Amino acid sequence: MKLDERSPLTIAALGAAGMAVLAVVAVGVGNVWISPLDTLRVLFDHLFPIEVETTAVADPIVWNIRLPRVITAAAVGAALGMAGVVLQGLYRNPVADPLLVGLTAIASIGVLAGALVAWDALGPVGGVVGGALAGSIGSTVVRRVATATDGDGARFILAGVGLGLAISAVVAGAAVAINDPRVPDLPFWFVGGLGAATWGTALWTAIAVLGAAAVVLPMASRLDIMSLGAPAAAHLGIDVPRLGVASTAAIGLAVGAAAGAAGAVAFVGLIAGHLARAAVGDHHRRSLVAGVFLGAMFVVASDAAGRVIGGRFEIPIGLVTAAIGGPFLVWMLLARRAAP
Amino acid sequence: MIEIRDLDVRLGGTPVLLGLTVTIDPGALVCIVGPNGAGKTTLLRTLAGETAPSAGRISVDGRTPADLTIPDRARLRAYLAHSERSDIPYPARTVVGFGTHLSTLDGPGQTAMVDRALEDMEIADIADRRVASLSGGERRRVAIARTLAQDAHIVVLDEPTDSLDLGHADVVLAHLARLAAGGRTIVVSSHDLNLAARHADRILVMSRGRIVADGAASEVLVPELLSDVYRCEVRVMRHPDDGSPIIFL
Repeated sequence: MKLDERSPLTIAALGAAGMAVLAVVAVGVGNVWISPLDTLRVLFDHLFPIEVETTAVADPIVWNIRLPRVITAAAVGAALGMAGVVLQGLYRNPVADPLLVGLTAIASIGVLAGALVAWDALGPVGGVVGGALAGSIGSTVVRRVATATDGDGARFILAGVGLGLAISAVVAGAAVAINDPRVPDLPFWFVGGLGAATWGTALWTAIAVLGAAAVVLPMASRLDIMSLGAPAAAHLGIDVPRLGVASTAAIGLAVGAAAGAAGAVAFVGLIAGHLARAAVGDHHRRSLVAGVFLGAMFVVASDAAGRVIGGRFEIPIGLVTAAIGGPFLVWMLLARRAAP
Repeated sequence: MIEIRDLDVRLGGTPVLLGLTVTIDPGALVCIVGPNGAGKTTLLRTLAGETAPSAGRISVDGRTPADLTIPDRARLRAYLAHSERSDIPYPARTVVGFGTHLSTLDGPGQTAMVDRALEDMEIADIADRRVASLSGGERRRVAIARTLAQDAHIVVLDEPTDSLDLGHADVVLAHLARLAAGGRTIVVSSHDLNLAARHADRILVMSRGRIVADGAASEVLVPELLSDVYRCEVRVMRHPDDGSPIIFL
C-alpha cells in the first residue's frame, strides 16, 4: 500500500519511528561523540526504574544538554512544518512559509517582551510563552495581508517578507539597544539558534504544538475544500473567515513558541509542506501529520549538521535550513515557471 | 420558491439591476438569457448572497440569503459561479464529494449521492483523475456534479454549459430539467438560446438590468424582441419535432 493511501495514524507511527531513530543519533552528535548505545543507556537509566550502567561523561551531556535541545528542535520543526502545510493549503500558496509570510517576525515581538518580563519566573520559557501569545494574536496581520492581496501569491509573500524584515530589524535593534543578558544575542533574531534550549523550552514548545494540532487537525477536510478557492468553499458551507481566524491563530501559537525557542528559522514550513504532499498526497488529514514529522526531522537533522559542520563553533540552525531551503525555493519557482 | 421585489443592485456606483420583480416557483427549469452586461450574473450572485441589494428584497424559501449563516445558506441553495479555479489537486470523485460536506446522510448514503452525481454528469469514467488534469468541459461537469451533490432544493448555476460540447450541454440541461420536474427550484443563465428553448420551462430575457420578457420559450423567443435585445437581426424557426423555437442569425 502506498503512503498516500495509509491512515494518518500509520503515517504518524512511521514518522515517530523515524524521528526516534534520528533523535538518538542527533543526541550523540557534537563536540563529544556519544554512541547511540550510550545515549539509550542514559535514557533507560532516567526513564525506567532499572539500573543501567552509564558513563560519567555521557549522562550529563545527554540528559541535561543534548536531549532537551533535540526535543526542542523537534517541537520547533513540528510547529513550522504544520504551519507550512496550513498556510500553503489555506491561502493556496505553494511557497508559503511562516517566516516568509512575516509570522515568525511578528511573534518575535512577544519573544523579546516575554524574555524581559518573565525571565525571573520562567527563564528561557518566557520567550516561548511571549512568542506564542504574540504569534497567535499577530496572526491577524498575516490573514489581513492575505485578504488584501486577494489571492495574488507573489504579493502575499513579498508583503510578508517586507513586513518580516522590518519587524525583525526593529526587534533585533531593540535587543541590541537594551543590552540585557536576558535577551538573546543578535544572530538569534535573524538566523535562529538552539543553544539556550532547556527542558522547559522543549516542554512548552511541544505543548504549543499539541494545542495547535488539536485545533488544526479537525479542520483537515475543510482545508481540503479550500482548494476550490474561498468563494466556492463558502458556497459549500465553509465559514471561510472563521476557518481562517482559527487555523491561522493556532499555527501562530505554535510558530510563536518555536520563535521563542529557536529564533528565526526559515524555509522549514516550505520544505516540510512540499515533501509532505509529495509523500502522502494532498489530503490534509495525511499531509498535516506528515508535515509535523518531516518538519521535526528536518530541524533536528539541520541542527545536528550545524553542530558537526561548525565543530567548536556551532552553525546556527537558521543558516543550515536557509542553505537548503533557499535553493529549494528557487528550484520551485523555476520549475513552476517552466510548467505548461 | 424565490421572490424578488423591486430589486436594485449597484456595483461601484453603477446601476446594474433596476427594479426587478419576479417570482420563481419550484418545479420548473428557469433560464435567464440576455446579451453581455444585461445583469444575468449579478442577479444570480445576488440570489447566492454574494452581492448585496442596493434596494428591494430577495427571499429564498421565505428567507433573505444575506441574513442566513454560511452553512444554512449552503443547505438552502447550491450555487455554481461562472468560473472557478482550475488547479484543484484532488480527484474528481473527491471534489464532487465536497458537495456533501454538510450532508446529514451516513457514509454509504453520501457515497451513493456522489456516484449518482458523477453518473448524471457522465464523468464516472474520469472520477479518479485529478481535476487539474481534466479538460475545461470535464472540469465544468465536475463542478456541476459537486453543486448537485449538495442536494439543495434551490440550485443556481451561472452559465453551466459555457465550456461544454453540444452533446454534454444537452445532457446537463436535460438533467436539470428532470430535477426541476421533481420539485426543485432551478435557475440557470445561458448564452445558448437554442438549448434554453429546448429545455427551459420558463425563460427570463434580460436587457440593461431589467427583465424585458418572461414566459415559455415559444412566447418570449420571438424575432422582434431578440433582434431588439441583441441588436442584430435574429430569425426564429420552429423545430420540426416539438415546435420549439430555433434561433439563428
